[in-house]
Amino acid sequence: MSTDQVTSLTGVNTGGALGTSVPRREGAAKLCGEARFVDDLPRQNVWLGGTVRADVPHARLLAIRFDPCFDWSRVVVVTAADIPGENVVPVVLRDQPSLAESFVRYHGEPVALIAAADEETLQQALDRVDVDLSPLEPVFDIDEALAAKVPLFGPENVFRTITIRKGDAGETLQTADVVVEEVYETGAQEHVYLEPQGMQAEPTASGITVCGSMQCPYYIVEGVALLLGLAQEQVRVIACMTGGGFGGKEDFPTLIAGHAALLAWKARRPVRMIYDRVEDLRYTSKRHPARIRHRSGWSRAGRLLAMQIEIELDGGAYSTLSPLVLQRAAVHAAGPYQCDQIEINARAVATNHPPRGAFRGFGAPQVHFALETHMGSCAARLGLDPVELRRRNVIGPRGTLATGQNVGEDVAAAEVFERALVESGFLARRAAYDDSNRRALSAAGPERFKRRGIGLSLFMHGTGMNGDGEGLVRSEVLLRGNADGTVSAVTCQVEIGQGTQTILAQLAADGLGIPVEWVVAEKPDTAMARDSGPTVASRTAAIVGGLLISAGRQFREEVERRSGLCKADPDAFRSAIARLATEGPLESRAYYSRPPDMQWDEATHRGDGYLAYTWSCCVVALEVDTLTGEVKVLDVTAVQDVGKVVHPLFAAGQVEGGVAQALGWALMEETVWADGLLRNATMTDYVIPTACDVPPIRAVFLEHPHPRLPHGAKGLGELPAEGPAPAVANALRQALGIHFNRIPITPEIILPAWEDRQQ
Amino acid sequence: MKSFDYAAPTSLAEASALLAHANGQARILAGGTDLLVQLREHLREADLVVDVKRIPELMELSFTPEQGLRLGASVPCYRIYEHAEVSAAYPALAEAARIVGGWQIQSRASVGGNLCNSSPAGDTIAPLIALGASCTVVGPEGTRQVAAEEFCVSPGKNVLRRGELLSTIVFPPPAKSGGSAYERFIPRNEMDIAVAAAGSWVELDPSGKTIKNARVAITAVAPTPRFAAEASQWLAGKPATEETFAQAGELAKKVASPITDMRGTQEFRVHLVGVLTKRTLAKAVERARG
Repeated sequence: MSTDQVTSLTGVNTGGALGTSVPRREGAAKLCGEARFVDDLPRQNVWLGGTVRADVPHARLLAIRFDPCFDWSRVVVVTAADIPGENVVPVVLRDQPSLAESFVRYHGEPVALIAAADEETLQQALDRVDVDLSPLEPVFDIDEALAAKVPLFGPENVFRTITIRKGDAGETLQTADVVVEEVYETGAQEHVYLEPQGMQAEPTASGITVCGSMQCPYYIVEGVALLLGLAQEQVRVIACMTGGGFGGKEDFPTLIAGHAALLAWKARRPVRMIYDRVEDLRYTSKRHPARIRHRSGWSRAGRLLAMQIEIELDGGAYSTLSPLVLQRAAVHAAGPYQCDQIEINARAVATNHPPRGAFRGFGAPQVHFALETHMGSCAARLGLDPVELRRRNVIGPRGTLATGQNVGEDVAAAEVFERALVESGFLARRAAYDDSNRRALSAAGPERFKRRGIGLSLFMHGTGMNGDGEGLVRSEVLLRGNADGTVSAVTCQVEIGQGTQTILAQLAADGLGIPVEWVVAEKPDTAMARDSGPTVASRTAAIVGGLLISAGRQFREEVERRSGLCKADPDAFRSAIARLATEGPLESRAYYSRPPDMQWDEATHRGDGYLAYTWSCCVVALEVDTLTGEVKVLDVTAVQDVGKVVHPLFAAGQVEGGVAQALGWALMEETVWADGLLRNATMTDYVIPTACDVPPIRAVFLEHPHPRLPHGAKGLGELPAEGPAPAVANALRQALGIHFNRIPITPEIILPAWEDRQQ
Repeated sequence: MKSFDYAAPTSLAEASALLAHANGQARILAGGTDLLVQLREHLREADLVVDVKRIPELMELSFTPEQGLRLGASVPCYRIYEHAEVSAAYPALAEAARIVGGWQIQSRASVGGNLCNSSPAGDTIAPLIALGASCTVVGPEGTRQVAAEEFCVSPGKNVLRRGELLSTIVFPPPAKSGGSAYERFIPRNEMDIAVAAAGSWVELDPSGKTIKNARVAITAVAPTPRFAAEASQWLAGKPATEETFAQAGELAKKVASPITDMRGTQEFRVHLVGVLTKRTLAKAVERARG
């Protein structure tokens, strides 16, 4: 893997550490094995918790039987009847119980919990519980679920329906010169964070403390308080060092934290729950499988006249974050194109699969796969070059997106596109591959069976939470002067490997105008930090980082005012902080509030879907072995306008990681389901890319600072995982002349399709 | 993992006696890269684990062009591919040793262990068969030789009887105009279990244009690794051309009887046998020509 270039075109000179690759805060601790993850906490007096699960996908729960031959006094058991508060995992709709009470709706749904002093006793106890279930007909298919013969959620088995309308697409489609209609499907995907889910809870004099692997401490405060019937102030949540999240530690930890809390509450002692890899693969959330239908109307000249898009997500048995994933999918579905007649109808559907949840991209990778693959098909139908087709329709300054959001001047879709063509040598390589593919027909040896292709995708990702989400959370950050003259940045953003501690220190230091080393990024602890929002939605550097800059500027003014210093040298400024901090609290807070020029109507889905958009173009070149169907990705070029690069090395790392994850989703990561259970639930059978499968990746950053953010930095974390899949499909279109509308595209899909084509 | 007794004998006789007289299930431990995982996951049980790495014969690797290779059953994979002469004389073996797991695994895992684990997909087994290796088995009743293709009898099972252990794998000296190759198909580039694999060995006549002798073996496509006898015999005397390799691939398919599972369908695996046989033959011939 290599990123051979990190480009800054319009580098904003902010001075200090912003825009430089300062050392990773927790890097040395991780390298030395000193970083403490939840399972590294001391083990004295800590009991271990385990889960009794249903072994059918849909059933009436009749009884839970405990073997009378086992000495149950050795363990602590919790069932739904033991829940002191409300039996719910609160995410959006509150339909998911913490423990099943009268129905189970997915294979593996938790039915009871057991805690024991050691693993052996725990296992013995788990083996001696029988769950008496009366099976009901399950439903796994989206259409069958929509037929609503098997009731799972509401009258229609639909968690949420979203409609977005701009103009009248239906009418325009009737008169368009060419209408192209196709259906695209994407599969589930596992996060494969390095550290499986894990949580520890301990009752305290005033309530309960929960620590563990998570992205969103305040989600857990809410969940545990509801479950135990406590006030939120009685629940303290501390995020441990977290070994990767990718969204998998957004919603799911609320469930396992609740379980650890229930056991600890009843046992009156600390209880730790750690999933092993198989349990984690089987029963935690996955990326939503999607089915997306595009009907697009074109003029003969290749002008995009109308788009009609239907989106269906398989949400699994409970809604979790599906309503919001669906919303992001819907708002992104029409992509970065100017089209005046758009109709988007989106539904998140209930099935008896394990609940799906947040995953890097949050619904956007699915819709970008559909649209950018569709653009390739449309170009073929129109007989136009897909490059030219995109040029003719890409959104420009003051253009409007599907929700009517006017992008103003802050739109770099065309620029990232043209830049990517140049950086990847797209046109020349495409011609060369056409040529080598032709010559292969008469070649001897292995070349005869090789075909090559290059493809691209153009897309965007909205920064921060959907619509008015950020305005509703009203994130708060705190800067506090310390007696040694350092400044603590207090937030509840979690270090999940993405470099949060480092980046937030950089941004705070930038606002404060002090060296980054003088900023202490405090660990997320709800006893110390107010809610600065979840560590999700590519929002940490953009939103929370922006608040830290504002707080830093205020802090500096305050110190200057109180100390009488003005434009002091750093050492004098530090001394002033130290002195003022010893005299009394020296603090500065900043709160998020919706920019006055931002409008959003949640009911009609009209207005500014997001605060800002990151624009990107991804180019993938690949080679196919037509004898085996193997795809070798030769290289990837990803160009993105991120507003401002905060930390070049981390930014490049986000691109490399996102591209690798998306190549796995596109080419390898098949989830095999049988009766609602993931069958390939081991790292042997769930095939993800290794370092050997990751091609050279070239990350190029453009920097057009966004005026709605103090530092101009837009979200980056999710974006890189959204472009590679359609670029792969488009590259395969050139290599093989086959349109693949469904991922993953494995050798066993490619081979028969190629053979069919030869006949 | 349930607890077990552990013994580390220093001679073949001692090891054989321990294995013969064990109470309950005795298991042999070489690198442990399969056994320890299987014990932890309750895929195999053991009351006694006999570590054979202190037996000198089992850790010995000796090679001369005249005598060939004697490979102790516990010699870790890295010692094969790091040995320049062995790698040059038996490229199929070196290729397989290089892809058993990752580097960490290769520093522990042995070819003997790979064979005794008797997985239908064991990476080093096709090369053993193609290269005509013979397995020296030591037991209470003495020593016997077993051809590599006769060693495995069903998934996870082999010819070893109670009290017996594999001591050495003996490879014939390399032929003058000989070459070999091993290739597997996996859904990614490294660290995976073969969906299908083939190993081929050829000896060319002095002209370099005709195949004098050949041996083809295929794995992961039947309950045990298979020697493709018909394909191998048919190859003798044939011109060393792409057409010949392709036809041999068709013949090799006849001994494949794969199952459909999460890693691949029956049809796909049979198809791969043809492709991989053809490719390994081509590579082996190229190597034979120097």
